[in-house]
Amino acid sequence: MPLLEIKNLKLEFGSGEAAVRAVDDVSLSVGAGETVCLVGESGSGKSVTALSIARLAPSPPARYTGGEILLDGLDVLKMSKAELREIRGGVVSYVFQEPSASLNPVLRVGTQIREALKLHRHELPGEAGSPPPAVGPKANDGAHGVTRPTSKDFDGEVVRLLKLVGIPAAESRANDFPHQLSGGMQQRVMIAMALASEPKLLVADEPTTALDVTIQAQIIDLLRDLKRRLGMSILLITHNLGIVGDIADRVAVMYAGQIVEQAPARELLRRPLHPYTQGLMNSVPKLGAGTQRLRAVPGQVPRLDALPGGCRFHPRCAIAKPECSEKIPELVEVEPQRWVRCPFWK
Amino acid sequence: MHLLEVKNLKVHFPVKHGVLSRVRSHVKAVDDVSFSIAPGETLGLVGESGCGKTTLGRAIVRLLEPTAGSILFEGEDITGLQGADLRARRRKLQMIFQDPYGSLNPHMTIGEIIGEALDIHRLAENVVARQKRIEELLQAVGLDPAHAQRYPHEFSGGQRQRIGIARALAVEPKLIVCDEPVSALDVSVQAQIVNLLQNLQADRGIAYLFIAHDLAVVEHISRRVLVMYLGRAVELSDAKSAVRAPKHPYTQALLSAVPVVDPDSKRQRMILPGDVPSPIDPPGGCPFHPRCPVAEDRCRTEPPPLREVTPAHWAACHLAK
Repeated sequence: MPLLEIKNLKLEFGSGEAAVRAVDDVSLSVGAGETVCLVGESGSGKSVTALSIARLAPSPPARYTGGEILLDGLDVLKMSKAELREIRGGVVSYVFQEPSASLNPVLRVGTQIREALKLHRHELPGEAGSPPPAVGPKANDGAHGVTRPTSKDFDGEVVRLLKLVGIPAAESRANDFPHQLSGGMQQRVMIAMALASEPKLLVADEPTTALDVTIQAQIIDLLRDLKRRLGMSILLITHNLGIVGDIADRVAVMYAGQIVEQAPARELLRRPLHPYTQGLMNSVPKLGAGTQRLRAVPGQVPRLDALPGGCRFHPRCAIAKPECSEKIPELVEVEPQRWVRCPFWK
Repeated sequence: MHLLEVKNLKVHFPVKHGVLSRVRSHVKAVDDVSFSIAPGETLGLVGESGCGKTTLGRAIVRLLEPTAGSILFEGEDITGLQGADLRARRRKLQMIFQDPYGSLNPHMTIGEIIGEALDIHRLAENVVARQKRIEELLQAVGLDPAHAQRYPHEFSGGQRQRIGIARALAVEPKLIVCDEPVSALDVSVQAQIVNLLQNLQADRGIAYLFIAHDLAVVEHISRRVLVMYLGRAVELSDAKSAVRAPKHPYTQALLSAVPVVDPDSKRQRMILPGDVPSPIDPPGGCPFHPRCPVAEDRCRTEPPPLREVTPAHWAACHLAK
């Protein structure tokens, strides 16, 4: 069984006539130790899909109107608030696009990482089962009669995490405030915080979009290296097909709330089948390819409250036929492991 | 003759400190940069955030005062121009901004936004001619002329960037400084804007200074490329050799960091350690030496000049061959 399985998820914003469906019948799975990329432009529903995994899409206005999200075998959509609190930053952790907006500006970064540790680690590292050493006073968790470690006990672990994500002079950096760190360093701190609970799934939503290319390369390398060392799964949301080639095992492409193509990453990049995926790849200039003209996709991404009938891509599609405006095509497995939402992909 | 010639341009910002706001030091945002642009040519300007590329672009349009150096436009020094003289020159020298949301006045219809440029430079003889010109411009950038009565919020990001381009075109400029014109746009829309800029150049012979951090886009649109690092020009050459045979280790690293779509590429990745240092207190010698994989002793003390390493290919590196 995969670690994460999203089945026919439907999510709407608003209600009644004004409701817009931001996620429409999305099915996606992430296996243990696998890296999956979710690719799409703004408004494609990729971020909302990612947020739904821990039911983080604010509800209301968001409403889950159908489908299932199985995380580690448990249905997230049926969980109580207490259960959700346990998995958020527990089994699944998030890293977001803008690290400066995700970090608390008035707390030292070490303090912020320690907070994550206190919430999710009930034992000190390397001492599972054995009682924690007598360092400092222990807070007593009366309900379970278990002695929990206090903040100070986690100092070593904070430094270990900062070192793990490649922050030099981790001991002194832990005492820095977020504004004292560069964007790349802040994103490393966010990753350290996400790793505090030893998550099985790391969801990274455009983690490098706000960073310069040389720093982007560092962060992508770090994620790849951490995945290998810690054996976790990664769901990476991006609009950059180049990053897909650098890190993904499998990739799903979203357009206007639906998955239009899903395939192993290498195969998709070598031979995209859906006209939208092809359009995306043709829109990006390739390094060293000279100045041949770009084949742009005409028109623009439709707004969710004004979706075209039938296939949502047909008004921009080069191979659209009259029937494309009538019926939404099904996502069909056209070759082993390759799913396409277009009957005319050949 | 060059359309634009920039000579030893410096833009320094004072860093003030304390109660008396004493100038403690300077941020050398642009430090001794020289280059030229020929009529109808596109020069790409690449670098990471904080390298001074936007400051350089703004100084050329005289939105910022240069600290030293000179800017020659059509052979005339425009560095010290003020008032009406400057306004007359600006007609030939326009700018397109990165954020299509922040650079259009939300209280004006797009007809008014474009018309304002015509009014300031008295380019329309009467109301009818003005209206006709606005419609022509909207058509030229691929928008429906009937949309002149609409407000900016009614348009998508790509369409707003087209409005910004129409506004710049209204005064028939010879040079447009494009500051990251496609960075804020969706991937499928970026290509439309790049193609539009290329069409307009082919039709009207406009020269561009195209500022971007995306090397692939810059290589695609530019004839020549200037690479900046910490306020200094580190490499200047034609676009093809900058990408295929970069001479400066920074350009090499920048290129290798660009993620490529081709899954079969056997590219050697070169990941730079560390961050871009603060421009307030840049490293001595070559500003790139703390991150450079091939730095030698003299790189730590001696700043390398921008020199012609091979014909028409300039690099600021002691070791470039």
